[in-house]
Amino acid sequence: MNSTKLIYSWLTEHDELTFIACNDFELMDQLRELGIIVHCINYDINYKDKDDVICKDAIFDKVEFKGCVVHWNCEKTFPVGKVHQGEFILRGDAKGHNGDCNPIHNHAQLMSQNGLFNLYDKYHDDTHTYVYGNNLGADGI
Amino acid sequence: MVKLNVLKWGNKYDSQYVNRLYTLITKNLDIPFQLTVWTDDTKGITTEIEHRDIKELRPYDTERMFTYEKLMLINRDESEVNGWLDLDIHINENITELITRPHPNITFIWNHWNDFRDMSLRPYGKGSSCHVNSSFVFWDKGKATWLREYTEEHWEKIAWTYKSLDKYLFYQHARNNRLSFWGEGLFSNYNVDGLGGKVTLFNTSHLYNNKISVYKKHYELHETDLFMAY
Repeated sequence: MNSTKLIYSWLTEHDELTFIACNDFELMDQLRELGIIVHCINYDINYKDKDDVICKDAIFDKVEFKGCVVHWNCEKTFPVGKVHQGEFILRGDAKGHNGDCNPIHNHAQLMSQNGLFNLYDKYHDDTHTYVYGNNLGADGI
Repeated sequence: MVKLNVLKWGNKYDSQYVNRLYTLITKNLDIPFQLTVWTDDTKGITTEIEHRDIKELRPYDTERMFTYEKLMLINRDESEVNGWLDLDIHINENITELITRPHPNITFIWNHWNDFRDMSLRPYGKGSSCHVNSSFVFWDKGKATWLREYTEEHWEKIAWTYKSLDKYLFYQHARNNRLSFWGEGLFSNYNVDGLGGKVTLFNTSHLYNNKISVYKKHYELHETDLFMAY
C-alpha cells in the first residue's frame, strides 16, 4: 500500500468498508491485514467464483452496503449516492474509455451526483478525482 | 395472427429497406401476419404495411439509449405472438418454425459468431462488452411484461448507464439469466461469418453509434447483392 496517498488515510479511519467496482485485490487484502472488515462488490462475472467477491451489480442488484462505501471507478456506473445513504470515499477518472458512462472531471461533479454535501476532504492526483464525505443530510447525521 | 414490427427513423435506411423486408416475410412466413412500421417518415413505404408514428414509442425524452423504443412495443395491444425485426436483415430460409414455436420468454439472438471469452468475458468489467443482439426478437402474449416493467422501474439508472439496448440487456438481464435465446446456427452476421442460418444480420449500427473504427470493411445490406434479392 502506498501510504503517501491521502485516500489510504481515509480508508484506514474505518472498521468496515464496502468496495464497489474495485479490482485492486492487493489493496483490499492489505486493509484486511490491518484488521478492517472489507467487502467487495463487483459485477464482473470473471470474479463469480472468487470467495472474497460479491459478484453483483451494486447499482441494479439487491446488495448490502456495510460501513463506508468506497467506489473505485465512479466513471463506470450510475452514482451510488443515489441508491444509498451513508459515508463515501469516491474515486473516478475522465479517461473516457469505451464503457465509461460517467467520466469524472472534478470534485463538484462527484459531490452533486452523489449528494455528498458534507465533505470531509478531497484531492486530485495525475489521473483521478477523490472525494470523502457523506450524504446524510444538512447536518451530516 | 402474428404481429410484427419494424422501426425506421432518420436517414440511415430508406423505404426500400422496409418494403423489401415485407416482401421477404411474405415469402418466408406461412401464417397470417400484420406488419407495422414505426417511423418518422412514411414516404415510399407500401400501404400493405401499417404506418405508425415512432413518437408513440418514445415516452422518455432521451437519445441516450439507442433503440430503447423496441421495448415500448411490449404490452402494446399484443397479439398471441409478437415480434420486432431490424431492417438491415436478410431472410435466407423459411422462418415459420421460429415464429410459431412457443416463446415462453422473450427471445433474443446470442452472438454465436463472436468468441465469448475473447470478445465479451475478458473485457466484461470495463463495461464495453455485448453478446446480445436484438435484431430478431419474439415473445408470446404477456411473456415479456417483466422486461417492460423492469425497464420502467429502473429507467433513470438504465438511461444513465447504457448507450444501447443490447448492452443493457447483456449486462442486466443476460447476466442474471433472465433472457431466452434462439439456438446456435439460426442467425449469421454477414460481416463476420457471411451468409448462413435462416436470417443474416449486418449489425453495423453499433459501430456508428459508438464511433467505433474498424480496419475491416463492414458492409451495409444495400452494398451487397442481397439487397435486391427478394
